[in-house]
Amino acid sequence: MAERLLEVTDLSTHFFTYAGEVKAVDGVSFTLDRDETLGIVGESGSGKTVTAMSVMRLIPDPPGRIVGGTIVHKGRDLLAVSKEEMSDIRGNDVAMIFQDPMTSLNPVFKIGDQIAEVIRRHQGKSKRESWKMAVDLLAKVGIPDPEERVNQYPFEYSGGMRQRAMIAMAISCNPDILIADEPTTALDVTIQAQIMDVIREMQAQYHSGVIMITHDLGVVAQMADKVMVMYGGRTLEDGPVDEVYYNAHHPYTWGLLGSLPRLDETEKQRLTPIEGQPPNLLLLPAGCPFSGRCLYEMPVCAGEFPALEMVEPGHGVHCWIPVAEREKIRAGLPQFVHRVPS
Amino acid sequence: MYGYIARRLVQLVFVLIGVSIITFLIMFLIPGNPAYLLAGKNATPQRVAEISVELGLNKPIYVQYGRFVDRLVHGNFGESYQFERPVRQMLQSAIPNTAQLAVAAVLIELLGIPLGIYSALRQYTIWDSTLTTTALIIWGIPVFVLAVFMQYVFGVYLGILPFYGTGGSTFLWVIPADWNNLSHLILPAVTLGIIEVAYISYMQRASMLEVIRSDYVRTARAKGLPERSVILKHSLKNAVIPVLTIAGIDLGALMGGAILTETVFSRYGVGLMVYNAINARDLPVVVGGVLFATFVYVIANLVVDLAYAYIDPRIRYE
Ligand SMILES: Nc1ncnc2c1ncn2[C@@H]1O[C@H](COP(=O)(O)OP(=O)(O)OP(=O)(O)O)[C@@H](O)[C@H]1O
Ligand SMILES: [Mg+2]
Repeated sequence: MAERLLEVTDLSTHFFTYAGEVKAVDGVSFTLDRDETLGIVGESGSGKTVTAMSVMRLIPDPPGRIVGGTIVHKGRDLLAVSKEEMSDIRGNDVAMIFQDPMTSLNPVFKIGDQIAEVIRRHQGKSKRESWKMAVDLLAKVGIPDPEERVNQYPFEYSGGMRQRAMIAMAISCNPDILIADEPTTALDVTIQAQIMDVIREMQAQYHSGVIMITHDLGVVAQMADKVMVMYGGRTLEDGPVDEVYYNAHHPYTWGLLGSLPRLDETEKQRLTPIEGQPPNLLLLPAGCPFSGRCLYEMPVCAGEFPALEMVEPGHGVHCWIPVAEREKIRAGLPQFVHRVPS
Repeated sequence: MYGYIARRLVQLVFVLIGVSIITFLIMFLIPGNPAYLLAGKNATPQRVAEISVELGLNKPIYVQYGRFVDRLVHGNFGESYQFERPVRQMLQSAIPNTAQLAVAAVLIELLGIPLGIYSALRQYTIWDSTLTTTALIIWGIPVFVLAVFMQYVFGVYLGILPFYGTGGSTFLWVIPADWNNLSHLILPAVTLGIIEVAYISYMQRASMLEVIRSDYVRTARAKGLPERSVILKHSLKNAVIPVLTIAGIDLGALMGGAILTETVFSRYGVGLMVYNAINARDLPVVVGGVLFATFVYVIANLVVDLAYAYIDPRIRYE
C-alpha cells in the first residue's frame, strides 16, 4: 500500500466577519497517498482555496480560524504543531502553487533569488549552491536559457514561465505534498496543457502527492486519481475519478458534469450551466448547501445535512435521495449518457 | 541604470529651458517698462532711453531672451530694484536657511515610513487607531494655523523656544553648530515636518496593508520563510515604492509649506525673500527665487526617481 501522506478529518474553517460567521469549510475530510493526485472541484466560493490554505495553515486570522478537525501529515497533526514547526513544514514538506502567476512572485526580486531563498531556508545550503540548484530547477521545469533567466525579474517572464518558476520553487525542497490551486486558470489554453505536463512530470520524478484544485472537470479527468466535489464549504461527493464520472450520485455532480463540454461533440461545445446562483455562505441552510438550487429537493434537505453514504468502496456521497431513486433519475438524464471524459 | 540617469538629465535640461522661457515671458509681459523702474520717478525720457539700450530692451524678443539665458548661465540674476543688491547675493544668504528647514522637514517626514508600517502591522489595535486618527487630524490642519499654534504654545505660553527669526551658525550650510541655531530651527521644522509625517504615515500604512495582503507575500509565507523575512524582505521594499513617489510629488507642497512657514516664523529664507519681493513688485528677486525653486524641485524629483529606480527593477530596465 502506498504511503499515507495526509489525512484530513472533519476540517472546519470559518471566517468571523462583520456580516456574520462564514462557514467557508465545514466538516471536510479527505486523504492523500504518495504518488496520488486528488482533484478538488466545485464552483467559485465552494471553499476549495480555504481548504488548501487550511492545510498550509495560512488562513488570515483575523478574520478566519480553523475551528475544528485534524490535519495529519505523516502521523503529525499540523493543527497541533507550533508556528515555528509549521513554517519548517511549509515550502519543505508541503508546498503550494497559486492561481495567479502574475502576482504570486515578488516583483522586486530576481527569480533565482526567490527560488534559492527556499532552498537556503529549508536545506541550509550556501548562497552559491542554492543559486546553482535554482538554475537546475528552472531547467527542469522547462525554462529556456536557465543560466540567463535565473537573473531576471518576474516582469521579464511570460505568464506561463512565471508559473513554471512557481513550480520550480514549490518542488525545490522535494515536498511530500504539492498543492496546486487552479494553476492554469490565468493562462491561455496552449500554456495550460504544458503546465499540467510539468506538474505531472515533477510528480512522477519526486513521487509527491498532488492536490489539484480546479473548475475544470477535464483537468481532473486527465490528472487525478480521485476527486472531491465541494459546494458551500461541504464535500458532497468523492471517490475515484472514473467512479464519480461514470457513476455520479449527487445532483450537484450531475450538474457539474452537465456543464462539462462534451468531448464527442466537436462542433458546438455548449455548456449547460447549473441553474441558479452559487450560494451566499452567510445564508446557507443548516442542511445540504445545494438545497434551494437542487432540482430534486425534498423537505428534509434544507433542515439537516445527510450523513456520508458509501455507494461503492471509496465512493462516498452526501444526499438524502435514496440510492435506487438516484440511479433511476440518473439513467434518465439525457446529457449525462455520453459523458466520456479523458 | 546609467541610460536611465542620462535620459533623466536630458529631460532636466528641457524642463529648465521651459521654465526660463516662462519666467522670461512673465517679466516681458508684466506691464511697466523696467527702464522706468530703474531710472526712478523723475528721470528724463533720454535717461530712460539710455537705460533701455543698456538693458537691450530695444532689441527683438529672441535676442533679449538669449541675453537673459546668457546671464542666468553665468549666475547673474540681475539686481534687486528694492535693495540694489545682486539677486545672487540675496539668494546666497537666504538659501542656507531654506535648505536647513527643508532638510530638517524631510528628515522628520521620513519618520512617517516606520510609523505607517507599524500601524499597518498592528491594524485595528489601539495603537493603529490612535496613530491613524492623529495623522488624519494633523493632516487636516493648514500649515499657517499650525505654525501660529506652535508659536503660541512653545514660544509664548511655555516660552522654551524662540518663535521667530534665525540665529547662530551652521557647518556644511545646514547642520546646526550651536543651540542658538538649532533652537530657531525646531519650531518651523516641526511645523512643516509634522504635517508631512501625518501624510506620509497615512500613505505608508495604506501601502503596507495592501502589500501584506498581496499574493507574493502569501507566497513568501507559503515558502515557510520566517515572519521577519516576510516583512523586512518581501514587504518593505514593495511598500515603500509608492510612498516614495507620493513623497516626490508632494515636494511641491513641501515648498509651498516652506514659504508659509518662513513667513509666519520670519525666517529669512528664499520663501520669505520671494514673499517680500512680490509685495514690493521686485521682479528680479521674484524671478531669481522662482528659478531657484524650480531648479531644486526638479533636482529633488530626479533624486526621488533615482531612488525609486534603484528599488524597483521594472523602472530600471525600461
Ligand atoms: N479572508 C476572508 N474573509 C472572509 N471570508 C472569506 C475569506 N477568504 C475566503 N472567504 C470565504 O470563503 C468562501 C470560500 O472561498 P474559497 O476561496 O475557498 O472558494 P474557492 O472554492 O476557492 O473559489 P474559487 O473557485 O473562486 O477560487 C468564500 O465564499 C468567501 O466568502
Ligand atoms: Mg480558490
